Amino acid sequence: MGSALAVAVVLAALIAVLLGVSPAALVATLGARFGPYAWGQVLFRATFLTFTGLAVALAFQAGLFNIGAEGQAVVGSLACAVVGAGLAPLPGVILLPAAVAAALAGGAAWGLLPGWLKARFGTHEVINTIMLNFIALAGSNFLMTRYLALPETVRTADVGASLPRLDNLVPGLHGSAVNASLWLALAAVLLAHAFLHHTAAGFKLRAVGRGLIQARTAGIEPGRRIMLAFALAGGAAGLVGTNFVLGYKHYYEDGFTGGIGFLGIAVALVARNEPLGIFPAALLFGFLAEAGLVVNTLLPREMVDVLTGAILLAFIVAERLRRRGGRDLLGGRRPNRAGGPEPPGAGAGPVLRGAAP
Amino acid sequence: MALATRGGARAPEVRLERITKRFGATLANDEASVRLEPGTIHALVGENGAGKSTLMRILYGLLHADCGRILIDGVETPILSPAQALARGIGMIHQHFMLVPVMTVLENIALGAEGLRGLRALPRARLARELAELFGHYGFDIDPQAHVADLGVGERQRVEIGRLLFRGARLLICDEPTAVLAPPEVRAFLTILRRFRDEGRTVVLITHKLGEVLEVADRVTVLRGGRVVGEMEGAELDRDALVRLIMGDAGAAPSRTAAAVPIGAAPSRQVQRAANRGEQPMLAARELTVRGAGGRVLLERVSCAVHAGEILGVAGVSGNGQGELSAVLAGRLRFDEGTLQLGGCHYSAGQLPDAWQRPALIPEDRSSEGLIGPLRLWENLLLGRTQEAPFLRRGWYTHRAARAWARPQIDRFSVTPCDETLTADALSGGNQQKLLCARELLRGRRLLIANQPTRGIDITSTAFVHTVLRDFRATGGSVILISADLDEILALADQVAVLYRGRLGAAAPRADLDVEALGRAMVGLVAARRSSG
Repeated sequence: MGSALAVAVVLAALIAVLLGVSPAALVATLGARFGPYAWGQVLFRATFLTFTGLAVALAFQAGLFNIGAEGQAVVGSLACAVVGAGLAPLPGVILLPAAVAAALAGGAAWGLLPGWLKARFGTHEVINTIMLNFIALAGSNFLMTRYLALPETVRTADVGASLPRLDNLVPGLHGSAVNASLWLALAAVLLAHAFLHHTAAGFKLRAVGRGLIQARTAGIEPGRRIMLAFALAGGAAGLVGTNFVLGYKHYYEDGFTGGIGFLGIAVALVARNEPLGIFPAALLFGFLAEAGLVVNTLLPREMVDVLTGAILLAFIVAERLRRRGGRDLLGGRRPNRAGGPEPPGAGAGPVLRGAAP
Repeated sequence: MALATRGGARAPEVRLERITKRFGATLANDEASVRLEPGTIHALVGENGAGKSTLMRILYGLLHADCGRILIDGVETPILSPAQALARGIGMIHQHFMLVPVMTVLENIALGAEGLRGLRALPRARLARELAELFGHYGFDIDPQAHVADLGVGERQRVEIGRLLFRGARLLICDEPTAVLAPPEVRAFLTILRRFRDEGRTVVLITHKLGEVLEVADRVTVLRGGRVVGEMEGAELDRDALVRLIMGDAGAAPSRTAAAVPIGAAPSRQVQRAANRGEQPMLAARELTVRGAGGRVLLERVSCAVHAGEILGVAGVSGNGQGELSAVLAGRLRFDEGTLQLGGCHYSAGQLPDAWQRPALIPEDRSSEGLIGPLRLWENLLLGRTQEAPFLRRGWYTHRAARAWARPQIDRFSVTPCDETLTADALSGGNQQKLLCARELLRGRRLLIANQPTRGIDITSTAFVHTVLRDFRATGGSVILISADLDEILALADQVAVLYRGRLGAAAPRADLDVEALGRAMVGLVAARRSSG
């Protein structure tokens, strides 16, 4: 990751220079204006990205592409707001867990759908999840305008209880939106790690992700693992609702997701799909976004997107080079091509075998 | 153009001097030097991973040596690509043929031939004539207009050879050519090799089958660990001496004896194989039929049975339905007709036994069906065994406990290096196979289906796997051994049946076997008899 970052920094400097801005001025502005409030905002964004990054990473561990974190986040957040407002008279100690559970369940349900389709019919999850994103967004819009939004507004009713902002704890963060759902995000990451690496169910999930045929031959049914992976992933994305609805606005309105689902893919990639790497990666992208705002006067905000893309590209290339240096991960059986790296011990000649049924 | 003079049949003298080649940390060839004399059949022998294929791929231009040089007729000649090798008359046929199935023989041979460039049309008539002449000269009974897809394995191999001859190859490198052939085809192939040699060509035969070496080779070079450890010629060729050279010191040490590695039930139970006739078989298949895409019949009315303490050997050349047979008998593939009885439970078409009812299965391809390369050894051992793993507490485990559980299993099955934290793809083929055997045999099932369990692994590992299978049988387990290696079947099996084009012949006891007839049945020369009920 270090070299990828270095490349990104160089690229940022290059872009700045091309746009007539001195990198030194950028750094100075950042240093001057990036105060505790900004850090609070970084944490706030990182909370979102941790949830969606986890949503993508968990699915990837099972060999699945979850492009639907956006839609899963919407469904989870909407469920969270509806339950939170619907149970309003109840005390917080009941209402909050119920709302969190609703966020989890809503996202999980929306994730289970493509999971089931894949397990039952073998349909490709990329297509399913992307389409379900559209359905979620449109569906939410419909439900809001027809049933759920308060009259004359575009938002739902207030929830009965909320998660406290962290600036109660750390006064320096005053005004920033980071709230107690940050703890939830960290807990989720730790739980995900424990699940993947220390439970039998997590082991089977990873096995299916690394070798579906081998796992099936050894007796593991892939279908159930796929559905579990997607349910967990969807649930993680749904927890986004705790940050937005319970911790920040206290209601739900359309459009807040604004691409965090897709940015979650970037986070998962940089974290190499390991839960423990998700939070640092989320911090990175959160920082980029906030820094973009801070130096807004000097550099257009869109440059943040350019930088994000640059980092991703650099990272992917670095990963490739790192892998190529060692053995081919899949047992080293590749067709003979002049000059290509050859695996040792292939004494019986090149074996061009496709995956057996 | 008369073929005998195409390029001239006399081969050049080729010398490989001090060839060194590394792959990452592995030294595949260590200052290996070989002299290939014209008009000889030169065998390169050694265990898998000894560096024989690597050395020849360097000669053929597929790989570049790190150090060393190639001399052709005394002149140093760098060969940087197969095209350059072919231009100098060096050709290579591989174990998996580089033919395009949908094209005809003629088109395949024309692929890449000289003089056929750009927009010119194929001179089909001329090519057809020359090919007919070539095939006739060598007695290849192949129609140049036939589609490769319709040809059998032996015929395809001859097309490969024909292609090289057509390009004027004078030095032919054959990499494990008989691995895909049944015994009668092997004999025909060896005859062809002798023909080439008599014409003055050089044949390099890479093989681990010493029987063939003793039959045709004029000179033998033995490789071990990337080095040339010995050369032998003509009269002094001796099997024991060869084995000693191939295995080095390891050959002297006795492999683990049966008493040291009991698997499964207590070994005190002496099980007479014949006595189990009266008991219910561990597995009985009746008229199993499996259909694939488009209704194609993959297995046709297969019937067989195996009892406790018995090994049923299924002989057959690769590609006759072995994969489907192993999958369906192991309860992992649904069949369309017939019935399957496993350990007392009956299953009919469309049903699959539960996971705990299924036999253990050693699949044919250890790297794409058996082990998961990026996962560690202890994780691979755990695959599919989480129900029975003792270190799991309510579904949770620590890595330390898992590794401690795995270590003795790895040691028991002689997997080296004995490090459970390595990834599976870091092991050699022989060790990967041993790991796979460990996982399957330690599942505690009484029935094991083994599909090509010693494919492509070294002699020591092969001996170990055979010992393990015999131990399993001795404790009352049953094995269905599916193998293309007739020697292996004859060494291990109590009953033998032949699988040909999806049909399984009746099983005959080992004692009653006519090996010649067996070989013919494997090629379909004798129609496989249906089993009677």
